[in-house]
Amino acid sequence: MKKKSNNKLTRRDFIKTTAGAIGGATITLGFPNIILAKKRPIRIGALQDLTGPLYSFGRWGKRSVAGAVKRINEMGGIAGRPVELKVEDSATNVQKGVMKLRKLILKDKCDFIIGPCNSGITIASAPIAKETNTIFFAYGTALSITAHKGNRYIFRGINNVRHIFKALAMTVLKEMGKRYYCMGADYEWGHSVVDEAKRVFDKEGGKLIGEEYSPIGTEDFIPYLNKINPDEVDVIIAGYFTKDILKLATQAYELGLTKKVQIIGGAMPTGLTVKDLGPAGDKIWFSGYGIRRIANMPEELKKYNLEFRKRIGMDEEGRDIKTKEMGAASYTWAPWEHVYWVKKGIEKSGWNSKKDNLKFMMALEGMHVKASYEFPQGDKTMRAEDHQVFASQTVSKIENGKFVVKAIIPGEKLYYPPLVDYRKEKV
Amino acid sequence: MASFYKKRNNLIFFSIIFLALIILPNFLGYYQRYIIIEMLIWGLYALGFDIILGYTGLLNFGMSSFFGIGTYGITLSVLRLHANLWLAIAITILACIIFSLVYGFLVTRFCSHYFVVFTIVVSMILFFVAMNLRSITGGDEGLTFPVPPLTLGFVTLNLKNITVKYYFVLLICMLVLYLVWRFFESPYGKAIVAVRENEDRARALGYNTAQLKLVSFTLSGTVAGIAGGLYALHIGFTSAPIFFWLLSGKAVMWTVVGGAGTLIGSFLGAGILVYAEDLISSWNADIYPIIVGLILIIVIMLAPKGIMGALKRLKKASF
Amino acid sequence: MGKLILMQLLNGFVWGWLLALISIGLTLIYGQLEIINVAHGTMYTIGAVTTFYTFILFKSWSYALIISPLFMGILALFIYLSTIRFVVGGSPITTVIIAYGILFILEQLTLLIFGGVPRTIPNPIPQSITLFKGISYPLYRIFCAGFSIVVITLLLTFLKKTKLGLWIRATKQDHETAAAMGISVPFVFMFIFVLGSALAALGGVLAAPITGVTFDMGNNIVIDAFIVVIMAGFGSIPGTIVAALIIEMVIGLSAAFVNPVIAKVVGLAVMLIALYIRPQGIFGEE
Repeated sequence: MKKKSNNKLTRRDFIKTTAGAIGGATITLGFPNIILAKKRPIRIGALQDLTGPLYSFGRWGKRSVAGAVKRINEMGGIAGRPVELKVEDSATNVQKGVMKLRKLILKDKCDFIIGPCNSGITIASAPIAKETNTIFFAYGTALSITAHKGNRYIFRGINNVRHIFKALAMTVLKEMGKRYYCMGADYEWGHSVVDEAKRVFDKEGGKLIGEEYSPIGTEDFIPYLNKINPDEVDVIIAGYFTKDILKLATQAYELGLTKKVQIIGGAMPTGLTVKDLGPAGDKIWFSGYGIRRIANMPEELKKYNLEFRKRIGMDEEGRDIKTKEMGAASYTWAPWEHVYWVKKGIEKSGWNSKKDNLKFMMALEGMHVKASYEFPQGDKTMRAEDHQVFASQTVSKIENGKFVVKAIIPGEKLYYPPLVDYRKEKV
Repeated sequence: MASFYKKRNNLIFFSIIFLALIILPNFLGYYQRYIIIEMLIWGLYALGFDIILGYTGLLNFGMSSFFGIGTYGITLSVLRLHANLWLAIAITILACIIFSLVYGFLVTRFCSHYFVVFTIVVSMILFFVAMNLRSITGGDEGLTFPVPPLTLGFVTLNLKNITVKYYFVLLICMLVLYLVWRFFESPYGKAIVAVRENEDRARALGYNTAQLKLVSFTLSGTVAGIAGGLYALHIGFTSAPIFFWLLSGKAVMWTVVGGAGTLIGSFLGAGILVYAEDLISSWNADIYPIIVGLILIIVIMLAPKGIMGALKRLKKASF
Repeated sequence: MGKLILMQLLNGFVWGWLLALISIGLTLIYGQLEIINVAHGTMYTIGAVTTFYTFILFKSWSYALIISPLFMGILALFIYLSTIRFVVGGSPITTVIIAYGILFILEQLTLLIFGGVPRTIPNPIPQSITLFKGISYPLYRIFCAGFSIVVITLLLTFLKKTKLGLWIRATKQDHETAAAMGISVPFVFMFIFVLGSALAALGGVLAAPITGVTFDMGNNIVIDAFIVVIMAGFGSIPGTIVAALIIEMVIGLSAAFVNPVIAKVVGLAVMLIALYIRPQGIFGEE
């Protein structure tokens, strides 16, 4: 055999060397690219009532979610990943809401859903969230959302109707007359208001004079109000919101009821000013999830809320900076905070994709957050069993043409035992 | 001889479409399959309307009644009776037949304008009652139910799987379409068309026009009810607002645009308009209803027989 | 209980006159042009929407009483000339499809311009009159009823005493004969459509401070109007008034005992039964 010369390049050597060179080049050139390559974004779907009777919540909710997403992206995203937002209008319509939800999840491939302030849509969405393995944040306030009509995929970063009546019971109910009449919008939330009112009034020895429900967007309340005899009723519980509460209060005033009868609102008069309510609004009691005017807030929360409001275009009085229309100040902090709950959950659990949803859930269960730019409404705890937060609750009254905050009750004082334990659910 | 060739050509044409629909899912993504399922279900609903309008000449403006009952038939059978798929479907069909018979018996004595208003009012009564009986119907927020599995002998398929659902809906629609087509090819079905043409003359010829109208009404209601049942199975949900009269108007719209009295026209009209809605609303949600409104006006003024009518004229013209 | 029944009947009476005002327009359009005008509700909505804008512009509601019907009349003229006149007397299916198309377009345009946000207009007459001890009733609603009565009376006078009114009545009897007598039937038809739409809009103006303004508020009222028109007997204006009052007062009376939504169902059921017994309506011919 001829001996190979050590200088001659054999074919094998040639192939080995070239391959090595190419390989080395690829690695040296490619590796940093792989490191610097854009990470897959986290997709958040906002399902909000941009039209219909609950438009006020939806429009502000959209701004809050968008504002939070923008702020997060400015600060580097979540776990280094940018956040993408897709918004759909549920139009205060359960059928449409369910359709749009499926679109967000199936077509737009959203990882998390920030749901509307709409209990009906939330309840219809809960099974879909479970079926599609998608975590859903809700700020509709019917009790059942974090009870038998919810599931482990639903998280609620706002108090609910039970908190409202507990707060009222602790403060003013004792001084009111005992004969009460309940009215509510005929859907889950309205019924929840009436249920909680009954629980609380009965404990105080109240007497239920009557109970009536009317459709959302009822045009004429007089056929309902006619049934209330001011000689026989001391308090009207009104489970309505926005324009409905305005109509109800106005028509009650026109009938002369408000001279003797006290009205308690089941929700803050979102989107309405005291002036809108006029003489009809006098002496109405409300309990709220947030504070409308910055001036009424505890000192330590003011700076967080100023920043938050700047980002969503709301002024210190709770109005839209441009149109001066009164906004949903007591509620709209919730969708903002929901986006940050997503961030917290991802950071704590190392969530990478929907396959890690269980880790995400366990991270949030029992989490306590402190008042901050991310959580401007204040300290709160996300209860593990039912995914319900316990946040502070206000009690206010319209007095002499002004909205006066009479008390702020911290979340811990509003404790009630959980009605479910979602941790037992298989995910 | 010409009609033999025409029938054979039609059969070939439809077989091609049918085959296309069968192999289509392989090329389509999840969401497209979802949309086609919707197109088929609404097409079946429009078919129900075509039976009563196109073939019997009665303008039933309350089709949402039957559709709604169909959705609740499935929903309540599964939720309250824990029925399996086939039992739920059977119960739904039975409920639709009974409802349509009683309803039809009362209403078919009316002609034209009174018939229209009567049917609208009945659907609105159902709407208000359903909204009010929250414990039964779930009211405004409705009822969600677990979609039962599809059991065929030894095989159990998951009806929530989009491909399974696609073929299930497709086969049922094709089956119903075929049965309805055969029905109107039969002497009984032809008698119904005679009633549409001229009721007095039909009666003079000895036909029991009241019975014919009743049968057609019942068939129409049951087909629409089946569509409702499929819709409930599709989204696993139903709610009281399904009875609101605007849904009835959609049946009218889809059938007329597709071409009333052609059976296939209802699928065509529904398919095109449902697909267009999804396409246009993704791009600009605000424009869609205006475009539909314009389509309706243009179609009814220029092509009152709908798309099918226009196609037939073109075919005739080309000879 | 007596007071409750009286209060519900009073409220029913007020709504009855308002419904009559809105429905008379439909009686004319449906009765004479034979158009199943499902878009009639949008005319009512547009009346309310223009009231809202008039209020914003002039800070007063009352101008809308003139401006809204005028605006609607012009819009109706345009709608008639571009679409309706081609299908007058056509098959029911043709007319209902055209009306549906108009409904879609008008409602969507209203949504785009006015928005999906419900708005309120303050009560133009905020006082209430005291009926019994401690119970009063808003004066504005009584005004609405009174105003409707006045307008309807003017309309009836117009139909009876003026030449155009005579033409309308003649055309209703028999339009071939009317045409033979030299009456411009196409003009009459156009006038009826415009008038009917303007009346619906006027109803919207009156209702707006009570119900608020939403872009789709007409979809509920149009069903009530159709029921009234059929119950009245084809094209009969006196029948429309009677039917509207009966329906609203039956609903009002029932509302004293049951939930007002169920009262509505009772009203609808009563109407169906009445139609069953007498299909041609109250004043219709056989």
